[in-house]
Amino acid sequence: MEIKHTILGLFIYQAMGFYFLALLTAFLKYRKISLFIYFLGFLASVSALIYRGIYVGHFPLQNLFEVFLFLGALIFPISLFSIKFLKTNDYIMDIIIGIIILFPVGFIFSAQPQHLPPILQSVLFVPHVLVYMLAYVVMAKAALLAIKQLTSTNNYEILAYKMACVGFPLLTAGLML
Amino acid sequence: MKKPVYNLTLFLFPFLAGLCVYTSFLGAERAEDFFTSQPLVVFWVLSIILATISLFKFIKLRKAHLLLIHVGTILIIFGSMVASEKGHELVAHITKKVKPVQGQMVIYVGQSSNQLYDRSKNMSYKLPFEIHLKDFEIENYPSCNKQVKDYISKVEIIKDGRVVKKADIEVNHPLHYADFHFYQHSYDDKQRKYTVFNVVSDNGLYIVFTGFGAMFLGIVWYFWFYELRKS
Repeated sequence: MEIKHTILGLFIYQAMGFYFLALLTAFLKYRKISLFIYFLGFLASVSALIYRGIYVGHFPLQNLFEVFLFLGALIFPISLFSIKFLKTNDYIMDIIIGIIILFPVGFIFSAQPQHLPPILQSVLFVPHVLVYMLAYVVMAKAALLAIKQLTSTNNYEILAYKMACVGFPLLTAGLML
Repeated sequence: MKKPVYNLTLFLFPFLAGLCVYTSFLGAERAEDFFTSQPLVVFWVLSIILATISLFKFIKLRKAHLLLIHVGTILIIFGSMVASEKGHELVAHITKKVKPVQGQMVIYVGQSSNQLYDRSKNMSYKLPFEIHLKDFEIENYPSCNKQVKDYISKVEIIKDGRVVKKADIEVNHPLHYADFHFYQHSYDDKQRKYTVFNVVSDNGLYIVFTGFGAMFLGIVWYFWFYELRKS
């Protein structure tokens, strides 16, 4: 367990706090307030990402800490995309995924900047990681929707299929990059 | 004809998935040996034949996106076969020119070599040109002297006694010359007097790339612009 007593840590814990609050208000059916707090969590995680990028002097996608931090910020746009284009009104699972992603960032991974070894300094490294991570989050959403289908009377099957349709080409792109 | 093709395809896909799971526990080298073994060559040939017959027999597969996925898959399998050891032997048999699949070159600073050594087969080959190693450098990160940023081999290609190309070979920046890729592989870590290149033939490589491109286009088209819109 590594608690981060830094400005970066402050942003990360702030983002986690907002995500928790958003989850709580979503459970209490305050949808608009919940979405607003979720957005604040997104802003905090983007701030953490920008701060990290400036601090280390490279695009923050070069180790697990940075990749997970990036994913924590990515979850909100993915939710918006799902709501707007895939008509999945349920974003509670996204917030849960966001919290799960940010937990190791805040408490497990070391924030110590690391240089990449020569073998990983390819121009395709960042797009490869980015596309794969995006695919994993989308596929995780599809998996959770499919599990929800098992325990619910609502029809989540189509939504799960839509998410898989979004994620599968991303996995193929990651394979090629 | 349609039903046997359909049934055989239904059998081949889970079989291939099973093989992939099995070989993932073998490690890269043994997996490569396994996938290029004779029974598997039969399997790949059968897959190409089935995929080609399917294109003629199943009208649905002639939709552009499915066609791209199908043709892409055929190209990937075919390109991989061309790139394999047996593929090289077949090409050598037809063209009467022996071309190694891969090998390693050890070159000392200030010296030239055209010797390629294949450790797995314990055989040497002579390239039709020489590589002269002008210099070998190691760059470290300024903030951390112990951590290596890059390995750079400065080389010249010499053919018929004259320099035809100059290049810096770095990790992730291989040199491509005469249908071979030269990758920075290793070096003399004590005195830095020599460098080691991994040399790989590019036979079939661009067929595989084209196949992956076609398959990716087909998959994006099918899932994002067909299935998502439909559902």
